[in-house]
Amino acid sequence: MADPLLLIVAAGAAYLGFALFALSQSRHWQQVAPSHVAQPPQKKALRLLGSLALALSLSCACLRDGPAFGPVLWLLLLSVAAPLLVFTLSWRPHWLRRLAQRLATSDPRHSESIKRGPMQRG
Amino acid sequence: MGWLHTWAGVVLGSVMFAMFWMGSLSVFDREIDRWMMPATRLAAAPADFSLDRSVLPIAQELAAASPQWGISLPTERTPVLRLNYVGADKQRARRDFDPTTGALIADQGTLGGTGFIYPFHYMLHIKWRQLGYWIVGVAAMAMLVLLVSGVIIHKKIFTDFFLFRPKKQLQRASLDLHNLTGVLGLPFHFVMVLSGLIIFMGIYFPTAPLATYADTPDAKKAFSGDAYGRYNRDKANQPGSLASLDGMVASAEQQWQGGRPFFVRVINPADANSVVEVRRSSASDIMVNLDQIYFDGTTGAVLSRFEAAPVMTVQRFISGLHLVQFKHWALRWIYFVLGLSGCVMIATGFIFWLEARRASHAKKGLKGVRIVEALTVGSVTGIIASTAMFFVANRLLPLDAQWLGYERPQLETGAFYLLWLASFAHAALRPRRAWREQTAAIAVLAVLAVLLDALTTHDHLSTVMRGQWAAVGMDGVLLLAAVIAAFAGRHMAQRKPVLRAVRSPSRNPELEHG
Repeated sequence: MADPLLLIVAAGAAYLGFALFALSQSRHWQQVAPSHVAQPPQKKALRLLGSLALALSLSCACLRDGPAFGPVLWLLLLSVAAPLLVFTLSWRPHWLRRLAQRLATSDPRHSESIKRGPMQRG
Repeated sequence: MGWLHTWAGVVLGSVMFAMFWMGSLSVFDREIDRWMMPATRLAAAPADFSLDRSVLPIAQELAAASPQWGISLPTERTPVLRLNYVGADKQRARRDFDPTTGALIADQGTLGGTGFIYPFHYMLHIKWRQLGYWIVGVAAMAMLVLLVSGVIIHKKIFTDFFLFRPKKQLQRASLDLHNLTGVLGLPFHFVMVLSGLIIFMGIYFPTAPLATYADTPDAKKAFSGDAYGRYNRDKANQPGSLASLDGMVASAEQQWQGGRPFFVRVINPADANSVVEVRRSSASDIMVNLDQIYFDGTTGAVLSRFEAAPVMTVQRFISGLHLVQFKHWALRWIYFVLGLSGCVMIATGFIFWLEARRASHAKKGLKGVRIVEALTVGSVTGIIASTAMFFVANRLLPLDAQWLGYERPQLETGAFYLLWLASFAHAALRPRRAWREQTAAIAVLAVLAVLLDALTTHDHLSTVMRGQWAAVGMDGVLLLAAVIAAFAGRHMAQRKPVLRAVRSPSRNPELEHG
């Protein structure tokens, strides 16, 4: 039972990691969360969370398959998870809306970035 | 760099698509075998399987006159015993047996996945002077160049990392998809192409052994003996009888500390100097190992033991990454999907090339777009439809089919090649409708293959019950392919007005690079 569970967590964490990286880009944040709902969180924080999710994915892959197959499985999972996330952004962006709402801050310091909005990308 | 990417892609894209397509299918070559050879859809071999009891009597009957015979042991993916020998008519022969009953399985009259699709992937079935290997090698080198140059000319990799705009015009959307599959699949595609070249080092660098083995009479033989292992000894020309094969297999497993054998060969079986070769399975490692142990056939004593030297171990690890001989279903599926993503990368590269030039070529009266479009349609949808045709022919032809002197396997591959040729002709003659009509052909043929499988193997629904996942999976993927093809066809049909709009002079100069 542990094997399929670890695989699911590894794949899910890879997907979540890429989702956080994508949301750290203004273009994709606006795709997912309507800008009037709340302020986007700090990019650095999102990217740190994203890296942690990818690290969790690697740990699960290594825990499941050991040091030889684990990293191979992880790298290839990344190559599958990233396009899946891109297709979600393109075709079903509302699936990620709840995640964006959870991440959104009400800190007024960041309201600047939203005013500048789509012009500021990266 | 742009011109390099463009020219290498347009000139060799068709070969690369065929390689990626057949390579992706080869990931499941044995499952395709099971589907195409219904009599081999067997339950797993029993655990107490004995070579002495099940194989020896068969081999002594069939291969009595053969100087050597080999037996591939049943595995999860290939649940049959496969005996290779030289028959009484001096011809090499291959027979499959049911490991549980020892019954001979009738010849299924097909090359299947391992005999047609897999070799197509690395040599295109062009045997003359190894030309097929060389075409594949050149295309693989070009693919390495394309992957690297693609990264260089793609200026905003990180900004556009997650970018895909399917609702934009076809030219933009296909470039997005091309970048997406190219960048996100890059680690996989690069390693696969490079390792593919490394596997065939002996073909691409045929004279390399001469440098090290210059003073030996046969440099190539000396090299391959050192690299891949080889042992033999002269016949005694006195009769001898074989000791227990099961005993030798057990001894090999002990020496490999639990490693399982997958192949056993008996050389000069009736001679006092007989040799038994046992090769180790690679199911539990990424590396495809070269471990082999040679036993004295009459006593069961170890004569020689081979393991790859460190440099060869690296080569075998890299090969193993490519050959997926390990048992890992999650990775196998990911390989399949990422291989197909390479197909998408090549196809969208073609489509972008076409869309970026359609208007200007029409204006200048150039034929380039029409020629490349016919080439693209034939090498993308054409080869997919032909593969489906190959499966349909497999289920349509009776076991003893013969026509114009061709045997059943040739009739199957003939159906493949004829439809493939026809798809190029069709694309040249009906450029406007070729995409749509060929995707429709894929959908129809794939569904037909599933229906024919259900009709001809009768026990269809029970395959799920009996855990025949190879056949079930194959049918499932065929149906999925039909759905995707139908969707793609509809999409192409809806795209038509947009295509015309692109023909107007208002071109976007940003998209004209290369």
